[in-house]
Amino acid sequence: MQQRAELEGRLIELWSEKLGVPTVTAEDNFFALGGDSLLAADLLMDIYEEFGLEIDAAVLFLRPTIADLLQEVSAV
Amino acid sequence: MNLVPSTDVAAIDLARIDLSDPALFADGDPHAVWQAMRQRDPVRWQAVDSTGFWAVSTFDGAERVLTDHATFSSTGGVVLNMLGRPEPAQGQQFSATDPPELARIRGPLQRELAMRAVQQHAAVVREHVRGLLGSLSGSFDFATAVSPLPMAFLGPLMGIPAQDWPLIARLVAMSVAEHDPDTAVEEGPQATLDRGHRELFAYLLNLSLEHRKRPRGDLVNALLALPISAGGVVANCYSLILGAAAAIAHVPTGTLAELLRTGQYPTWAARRAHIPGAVEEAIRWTSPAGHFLRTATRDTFIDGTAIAAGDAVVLWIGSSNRDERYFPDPHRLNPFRRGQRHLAFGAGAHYCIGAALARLALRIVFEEMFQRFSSFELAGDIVHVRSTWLAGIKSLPVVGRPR
Repeated sequence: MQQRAELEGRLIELWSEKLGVPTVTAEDNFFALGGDSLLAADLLMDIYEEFGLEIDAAVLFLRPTIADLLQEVSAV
Repeated sequence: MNLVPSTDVAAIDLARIDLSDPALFADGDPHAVWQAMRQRDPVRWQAVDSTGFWAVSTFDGAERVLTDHATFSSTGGVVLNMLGRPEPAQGQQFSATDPPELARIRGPLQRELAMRAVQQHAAVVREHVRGLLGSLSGSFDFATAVSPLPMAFLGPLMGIPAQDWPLIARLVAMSVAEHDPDTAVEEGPQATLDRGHRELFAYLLNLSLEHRKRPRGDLVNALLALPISAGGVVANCYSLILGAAAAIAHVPTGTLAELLRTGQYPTWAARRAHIPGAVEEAIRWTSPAGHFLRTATRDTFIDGTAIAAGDAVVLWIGSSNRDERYFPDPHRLNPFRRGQRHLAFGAGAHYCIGAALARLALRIVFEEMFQRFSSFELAGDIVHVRSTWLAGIKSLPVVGRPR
């Protein structure tokens, strides 16, 4: 649980850094916030490097919210 | 799109023509339109909503724009569906990067795709092509039959397994022919483009992660070794796939359709020694990559027409490759045409990186097709792709007689 909260916090940080948006919520859509496919790829690679987590890229590209990513991670 | 003009060129009112409308290419007569442009208005402004582009129809104009990289940049996107939108891959993807930075990304890929490297795959490609054509006889759709072809040679170079080729082909179709009723999703062209693009990107990102964990020494690993971001790696894979998978199968399909129309199939099939020249002519004549977009970096002129810094410029390759100044009797598919370069693979620093591979694969396809089939008959209506970028036939019903 703690790990999940930590991951959520870090994901929010990463998104806001990559997108240059000060406040990001778990329900925000990555592409609607101005993200593009290249940034999305960078983001998943960062998550892999930092947490060793392999998230199916289709999740971020087709259901692009932090909530969906977290759900995917807990299902793994 | 119709591959030879069938309407009265003199009667065309250019003011009513919209080159950004995919319907022109599905049901219209673009070669007649381009001929009218070359005669009357070779560099013409095409308004599109509140923006627009300069449409270049001549060989000289297109070659100048393709080779003058300082004046015409690729960083604003290179296809019309990027018009008026920022190109996120600029400076990271070879197709959207200008010289001199371009060499950094392109060099290693070019080495992987050099003829010497590619020829190692010739036997595998031939085996795939035999597999594709070998089981065909009687009535079938030739366009459908050859559509897996590009992935048959690109797949092994990128480590994409055969069971995924149909998926890739579908996503590529969504990404380049978003207006086509066979590929479009219910929500419309933009949604089709977005979904095709994102699913393909997701696939390629997973693929590049696999390659990172277990290197295979292929094209994807060559990209991973470059000092570019993860997004850059995927964007380059995307370019390779789109360039190859979308275009190449349209060369044999368009050519066969014309050979059936003119009754020339037996002549071509009987002269196998001429295949290399015939393949080059087939590439010029079909020109599947229909246009390229560039953005002017400064005020300039093309064929005497003033272009302002920031203007979008679109080169219609299908038109340049039928320019009567360089290609006498340009609409005739003539395997003995010699000595004139064409622009189907572009020109300059962005010259198609897969050209050697494409030529090899096409040579094999023509050889195998002529070897297997003594004749074909057209067995239904030809359907053209609805796209401003992809010039080709998506349905060519035939009856083929094996030898």
